[in-house]
Amino acid sequence: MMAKYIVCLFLFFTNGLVHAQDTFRLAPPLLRYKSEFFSKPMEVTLLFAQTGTAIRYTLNGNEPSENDTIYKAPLTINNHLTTVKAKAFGYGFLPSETVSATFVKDGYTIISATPTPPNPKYPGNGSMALFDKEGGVANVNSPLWLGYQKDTVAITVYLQRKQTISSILLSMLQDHSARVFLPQQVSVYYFDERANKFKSCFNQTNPASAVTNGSITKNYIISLSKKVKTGILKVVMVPVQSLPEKHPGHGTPGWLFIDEIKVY
Amino acid sequence: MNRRHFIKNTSLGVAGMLWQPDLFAAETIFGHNNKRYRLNTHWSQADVARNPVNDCHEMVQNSQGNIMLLTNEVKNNVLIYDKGGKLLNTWGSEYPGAHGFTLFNENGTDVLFICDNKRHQVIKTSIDGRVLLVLDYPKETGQYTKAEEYVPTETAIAANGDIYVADGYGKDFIIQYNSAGRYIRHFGGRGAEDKYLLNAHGVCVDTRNNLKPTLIVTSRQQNAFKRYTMEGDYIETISLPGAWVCRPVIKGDYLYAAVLQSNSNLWKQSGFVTILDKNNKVVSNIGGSAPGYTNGKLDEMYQTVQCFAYPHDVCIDDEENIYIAQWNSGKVYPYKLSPVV
Repeated sequence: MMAKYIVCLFLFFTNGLVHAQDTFRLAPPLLRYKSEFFSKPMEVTLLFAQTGTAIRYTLNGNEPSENDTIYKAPLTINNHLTTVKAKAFGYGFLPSETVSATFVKDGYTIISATPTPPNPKYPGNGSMALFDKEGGVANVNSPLWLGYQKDTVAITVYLQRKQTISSILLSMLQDHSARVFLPQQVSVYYFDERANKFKSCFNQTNPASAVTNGSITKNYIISLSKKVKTGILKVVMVPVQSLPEKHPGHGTPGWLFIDEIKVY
Repeated sequence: MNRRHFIKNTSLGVAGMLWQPDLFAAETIFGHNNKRYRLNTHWSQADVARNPVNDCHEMVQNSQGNIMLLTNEVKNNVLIYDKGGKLLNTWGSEYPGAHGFTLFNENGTDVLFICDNKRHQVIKTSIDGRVLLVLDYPKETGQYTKAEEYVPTETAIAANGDIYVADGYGKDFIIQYNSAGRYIRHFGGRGAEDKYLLNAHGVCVDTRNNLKPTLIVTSRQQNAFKRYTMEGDYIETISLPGAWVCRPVIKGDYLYAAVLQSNSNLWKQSGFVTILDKNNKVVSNIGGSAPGYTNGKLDEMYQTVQCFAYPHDVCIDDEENIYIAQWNSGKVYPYKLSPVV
């Protein structure tokens, strides 16, 4: 009996040592598109060349599960603020992390958007950078970002014609390990023709955010409590002046990255 | 699972099954085409308390058939294993920036070349660690004013003993010396044209065409290898979209390379291993996407299975097994891949 027990133990030991199988996680699928901004319906492609796996996705903002639709062909995006979430699943593997992107439809036509000069390291791509329908690349090194540190950022936006405005969308980057945070304060002013001056229509102070991993694009949506009629807006943002306590760079200033403005 | 394992597992009874939840998981085969492998993440039998590793940078197989690992852990810079993963010996404590590791058979005797990127030197040693030659920063090139500008990452040794050093974390020059360490020439460096390099992390002599060996140099941030004549004249670029390739390693008709990470998922442990055939077409990615060509151009490659974090080098032994050394991956020992035949 004892001998049998020892043999059993021995077998377990060698088995565990030599044949223990690791269960690996799948890497996230690749989410490919020209830009997060569109005016006509646009295509979004997902890639994951791994036999025995499938990409499943949702368009309703929910976390993809094993019951969601399997990706077979490029998706066509029609609607403003459509979020694609995708995840790879495969037998014998742990499911991947979720990849996600939100697609933003064009608003009123902008003819000029003049920002405070960005930090020379992150100049963006020219005078039309903030309304060229390019961007939404979740990577600090994308040349499309305008980067700011410390200085208050003011962007004056000129619309093609006077419009009734209910919301504004700022496309920004969040990458805490690269010290890129959303602004700590955002205000909006509209030009009141009759009074011949800018008037405040929005002001929000954001609490210090929790430190997270990864590089993601964020659509900072400003909903005006009262619609305004104007052709000129001024958006003023204050970058995080002192990184939060949990961040290795605690106390030093953060960066603010923006690549597009939309007005609705 | 083969029959033998099944019988073994059955004999364990219920307890064994409870303790081994992965017992019935599908066995994962990695890679593509004729380059497919099983992965063993527990190959090393070294005792972490006695013989720790830090970054495992590179590996080579010596003439005795043993596997040598170079790590920047100064408790034991070099670990010598048998192919089964048993630790046989260690040496070295004076290489804090141990990075490049090349073995050369010099008239029947194995010698080693270590690139130390903290010491800013290349050190030639005997197989047991006796220092034979030290190459300081290459003043002769006229490109350097101090040692700190020179951060060598790799060497390759030509059949005639000429030493090629890749300054992969310095100025990206390839510096050629004769076997005695006398400067001959330099080439590469940074610039806009194709002949220039960006992060010249590795170099090897491509002997797959015996009549005319050439040099293959890594240009990691450009996701490419670049081929030069042995005199440093640029020949061609081998584009590897998406792949941060480390040094090229030639074995038989194939070129193997660790891919530190995928461009699509930077600094998130998105590495894999790539294998190119003698025409430099990718035939297999271990832990990476199935290689595909569209109109003759290689599709972007990326990690698909997180079986490696940041692979830094591959060593292919005489039985076609692959050992994988990893950088910044939780101080893990090397993994071993065995071919599926």
